[in-house]
Amino acid sequence: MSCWWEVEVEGQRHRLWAERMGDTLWIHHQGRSFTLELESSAGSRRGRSRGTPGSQGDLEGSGEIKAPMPGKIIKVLVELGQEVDVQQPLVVMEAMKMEYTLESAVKGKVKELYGELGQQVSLGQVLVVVG
Amino acid sequence: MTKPKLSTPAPVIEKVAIANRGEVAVRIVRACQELGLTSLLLHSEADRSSLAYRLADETLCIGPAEVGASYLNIEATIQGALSGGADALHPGFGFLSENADFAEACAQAGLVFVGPSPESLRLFGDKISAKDLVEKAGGPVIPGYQGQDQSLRTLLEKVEEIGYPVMVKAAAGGGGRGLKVIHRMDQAVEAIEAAQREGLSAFGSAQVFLEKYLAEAKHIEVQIFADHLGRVQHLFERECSIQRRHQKIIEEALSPSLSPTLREEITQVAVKIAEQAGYRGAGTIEFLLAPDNQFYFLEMNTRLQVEHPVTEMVLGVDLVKAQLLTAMGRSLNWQEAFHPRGHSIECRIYAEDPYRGGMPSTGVLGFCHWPQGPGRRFEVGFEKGDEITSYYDSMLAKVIVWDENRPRAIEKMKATLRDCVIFGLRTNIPFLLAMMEHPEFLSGQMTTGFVDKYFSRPLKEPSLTRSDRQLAEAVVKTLNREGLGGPRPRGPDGEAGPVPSPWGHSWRSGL
Repeated sequence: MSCWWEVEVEGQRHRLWAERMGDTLWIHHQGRSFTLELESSAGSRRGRSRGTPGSQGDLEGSGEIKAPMPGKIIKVLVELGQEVDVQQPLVVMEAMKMEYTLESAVKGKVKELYGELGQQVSLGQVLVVVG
Repeated sequence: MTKPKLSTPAPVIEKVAIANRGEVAVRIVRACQELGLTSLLLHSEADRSSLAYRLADETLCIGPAEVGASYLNIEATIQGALSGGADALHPGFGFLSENADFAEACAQAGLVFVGPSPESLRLFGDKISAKDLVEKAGGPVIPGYQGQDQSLRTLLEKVEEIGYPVMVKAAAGGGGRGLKVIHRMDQAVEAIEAAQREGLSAFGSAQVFLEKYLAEAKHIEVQIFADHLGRVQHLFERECSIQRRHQKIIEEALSPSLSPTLREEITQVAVKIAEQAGYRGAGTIEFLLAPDNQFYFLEMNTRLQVEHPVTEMVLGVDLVKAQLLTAMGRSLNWQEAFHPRGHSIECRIYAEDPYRGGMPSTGVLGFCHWPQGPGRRFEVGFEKGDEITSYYDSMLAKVIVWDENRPRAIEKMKATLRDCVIFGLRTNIPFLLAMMEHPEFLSGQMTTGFVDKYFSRPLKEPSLTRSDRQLAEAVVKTLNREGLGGPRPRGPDGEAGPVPSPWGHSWRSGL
């Protein structure tokens, strides 16, 4: 099966690779790959305006710390009720054999703490709420 | 200790167990097949969805996805090799490849370990005794602390003594694992503890050592090979200065930075170290080259390297077959001295998001296209439909090019990378391309600080142009016209298109 396409846009012929995976359309054109989120048949509103599946655009300035990737929690550096500062490390995750430290984006108190040591977490799972 | 069952100098090997995964498992499977050996892939439950599983002559599942239960499980690995009827075992790189206890257990089980002796693994595996050996052999080492006193207080004192920046490494580490750089005093405790933790979880030892961090140095490594009679030959050097978090990204052979005199000097030191250790098989001696052309021993990797293909390309050798032949006690019939031809570059393709600082990207691979051509080589471990999980490292494939000289090899690599299609996952290809445009890389003057200095921030994601959207719309429109139904792309304002008809999985390929 090939994903080779020829399409015409405004009278111009373009050749590209394209494949739909789930609600994402993957395109490779002139040496660059990009994606576009599609409306699923269920009419779901899920998707990214900028075409990056799984982007955490809502991370900035939010007190909600979500797992930016699937992986394992290997260190929890804060406790419930603790005061934390901007950029203070909260949780250390491991994925693909590398460690990643998740920092707080805001100043405040640790209101909710879901991550447990050794726990396997999925992408987007809320681990800490600072407020 | 029981004697190995096969103690003859030339063991008969018919079936080789492969205790690894991904592209290197594919590489070894093919080398075995080309030598007329039966390959037996020992894999985890997760790796049924991989190319090595499909290509190997025989496969045997040794445990669940977690590396501790499968690829790092000595007992399960040896049991698997024995019950599968293997005579030998190739460990690849990473995992158990540099584990002396494992090599010893192989010998006790009557399996020929394709690699150096347990003694060599132990000697070089402990970075402290390795440095001792190099010093005894008259090789240059970096100032640091390698003592047995591992108390936090002593380590902190030594950090101050050596002077910032200081690197803390897991003594048993390698490949950038358990390795941190301390720039200021307030980073020291966290860095030391992280190195201990990573060392413990990845290698079972929390012992660390400290070393002066040479920021403006180049990473130069010499490939050596000792044949079945122990004769050591060097196969010139590779430069791997392009690293991030001490993990190599771009490697090349030869280095653009060595004068003939320096090359002669560094390769001879490498040969001396291997001879001193009574080494056997493939090994790589890593050095740091300072701006004053002084080089220092970094570590010896007692296994095949990820970047071995660039050496193969410029010398016309097959290092994996050489390893297997040496294990069988056969002669390599190599020439007395090699004469490098042209230039070779390797780029590691990682499943990560270049627009989000290299965050791992996991999921199911979609359509992939590797643009073949003269002087292009692809070492690939996965295909469409395979799942890339967070259990293992993120290297999907390696792209290797050869051309007559370095500038042409760079141009070939850029053209090749631009035409690689990998759907379903984000890859570091945009990042690789950006690095290869940088004047410092083009001039060959890059150091190990290159990525931190010029690419510490995530790449800026180009926003979709009007033309990108039009292309996507045209694809979707064609699908609709063909009666395949299908979704519509969101408009620029995010408004949904008309509700599409249910969408099947058939494709119209081309027009």
